[in-house]
Amino acid sequence: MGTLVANGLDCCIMPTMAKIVFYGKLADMIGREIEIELPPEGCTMAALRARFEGLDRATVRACVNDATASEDHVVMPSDRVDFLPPLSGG
Amino acid sequence: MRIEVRLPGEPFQPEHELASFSADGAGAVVSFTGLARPETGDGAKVERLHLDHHPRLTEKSLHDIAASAERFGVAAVRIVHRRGAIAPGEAIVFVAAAARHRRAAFDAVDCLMDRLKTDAVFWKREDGVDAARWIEPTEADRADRARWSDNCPD
Repeated sequence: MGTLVANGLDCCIMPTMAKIVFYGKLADMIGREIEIELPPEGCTMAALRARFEGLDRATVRACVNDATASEDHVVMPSDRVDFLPPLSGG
Repeated sequence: MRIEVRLPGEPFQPEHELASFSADGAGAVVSFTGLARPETGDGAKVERLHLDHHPRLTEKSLHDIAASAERFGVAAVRIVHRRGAIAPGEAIVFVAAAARHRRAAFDAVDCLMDRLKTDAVFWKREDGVDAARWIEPTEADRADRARWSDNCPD
């Protein structure tokens, strides 16, 4: 997967990595875990979601640091993001 | 109410879970054990069941579900749920409730199982000979879950 780097990012500021984790069939499609670069000011969940195939906002729940996150939530570097497809149940 | 939840990655023995479960003053213990089926609903052979889980949210969901049994007035509940790869015939889930009287224990286990089938944070894949299939709750599962309002019992 590609990286996210803001235009005009200061060359002296080292972007840090956000951890993105996928579960269920998404892990089969995309991989279990990836790290992507984010600009220091972060990016919205909607922008992050758009980087990947199959993350339909109607069915795939996004969590940041174990809390459900809205589409306008700003994901910051060093956050952990989970994408959860519909549950199968036990 | 005492709550016991475990999420083992290895096979467990439901008979041992039952033998070690009770509560002071209990007059009834009801338990349920769910096993991995050897075939899909279409009759295809299942070589292995895989239960993907979240490192924190899955166990939290089991605790939340277990805590919901308090409404029945039971003294203790235990949920043991496998994760990872499960062979046909192995136990997937064990649920037990202890109460002074049987009806509360029956209802608690019935409700807990219906909630587990829809609300537990798992993603389930059946691995067959030629293909793997991710599965989701059925309409029957959802209907079973709907029997229990968030604030039941009646």
